[in-house]
Amino acid sequence: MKKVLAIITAIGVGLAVVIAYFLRPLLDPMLELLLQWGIILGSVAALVGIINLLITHWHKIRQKKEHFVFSFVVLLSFALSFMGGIVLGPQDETYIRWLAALQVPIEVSLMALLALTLTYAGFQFFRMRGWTPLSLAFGISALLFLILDIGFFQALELPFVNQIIEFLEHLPLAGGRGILIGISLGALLTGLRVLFGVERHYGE
Amino acid sequence: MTRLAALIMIGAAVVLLAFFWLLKRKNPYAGLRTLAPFKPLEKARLQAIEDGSRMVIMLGNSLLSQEVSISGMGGMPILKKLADQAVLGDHAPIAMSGEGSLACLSQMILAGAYRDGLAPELFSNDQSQFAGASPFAYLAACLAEGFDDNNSALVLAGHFRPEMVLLADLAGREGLFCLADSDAPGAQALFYASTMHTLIGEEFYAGGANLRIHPLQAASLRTQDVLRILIAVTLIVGVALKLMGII
Repeated sequence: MKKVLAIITAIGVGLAVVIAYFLRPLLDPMLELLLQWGIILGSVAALVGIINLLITHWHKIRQKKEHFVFSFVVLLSFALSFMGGIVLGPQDETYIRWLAALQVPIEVSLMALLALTLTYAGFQFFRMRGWTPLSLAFGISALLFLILDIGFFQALELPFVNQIIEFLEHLPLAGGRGILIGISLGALLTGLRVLFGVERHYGE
Repeated sequence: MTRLAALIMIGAAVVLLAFFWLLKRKNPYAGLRTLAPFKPLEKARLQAIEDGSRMVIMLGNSLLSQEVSISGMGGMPILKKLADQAVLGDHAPIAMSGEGSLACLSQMILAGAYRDGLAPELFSNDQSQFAGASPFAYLAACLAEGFDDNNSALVLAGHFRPEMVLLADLAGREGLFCLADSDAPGAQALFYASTMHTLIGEEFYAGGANLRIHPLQAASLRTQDVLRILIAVTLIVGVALKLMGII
């Protein structure tokens, strides 16, 4: 009975949001209220997630699993930043500077690693995929747009060349839109399945 | 006008979904287009059960976070299927989520799989992890979990930022099977360049149909295909009419 009630509530709220979207601004207050409830539920889920994160790392330390030292670092950093936030306040400039001083260098290092990885992947690409039409198209277009992005040909300001470059620069947009149309259709149908109560792998 | 177009699209999708569901009710998966990466995934799953290794499923960091998006649901059918079958394995599969609601959903799926497999006592909350609230924290946690010696496969199915390609690269270097499936075009391009088993475009939402989770998902894939063709034809006709100066 509890399960049925949950499904009916989920489908009902989903339908109400869809109907409210089409009957805007008439049903704006209802839409806003439902979205606010959604935000509250999302925040509660985030809190549950954080508790799950802490418990998982605590278990790793207690069971002395492989690389449990990292879990200790996670818990210690969490405790320090949490205490800092409580004592100084999350908007405090010093607190934000401390966090950024730790976070930004780590993120930049990962970005640098990403650049290296991509260069390596570029070299490995044809060995991995072989010389298929798709891989050739991918490789040629990647190379072409890398060259175009340097801006050398644009700087020459040749009339015909600039027109060709302009045309070529529109191609990724067209391809991207094609991919996005496909993804949007998939999202629409997934949404419909959720509304019909089919897409509930977690409720069976 | 936008709302009218959206209404027409939803209406067409509902009608086609019902049509394909009724038409193929007896044999919903007959003639359905199959996606190449799901065959090696099946092989990797069987291999994991055989040699007692572990599969790690990364679900991304989007459902109710910065941008509310249904893309987080894209990886759920894959998680469901792998969890259902991995109950018998020596090492339980691990689900890594970068968002609270996804972590809750994945925990329910995994717990449900063990309940259905009549072994609820084998489920541990540690199998479904909230890996990190920011994209980089999520990546760092996934990299740490991906390095585990017991792993045999990494499945990336959800909304990812391009930096997650580091995981695909890690899988390649460690000799792990890797299926990369994202709704973000940037991540798709990078996954394509770095791993063999990649899903592109709308294939992101085709997992449920290919893994035979529910007949309506097969109808859904057919509807997707028909609507895509209709949109493409409409666009081409529109361009032709515009060139001829009719519209």
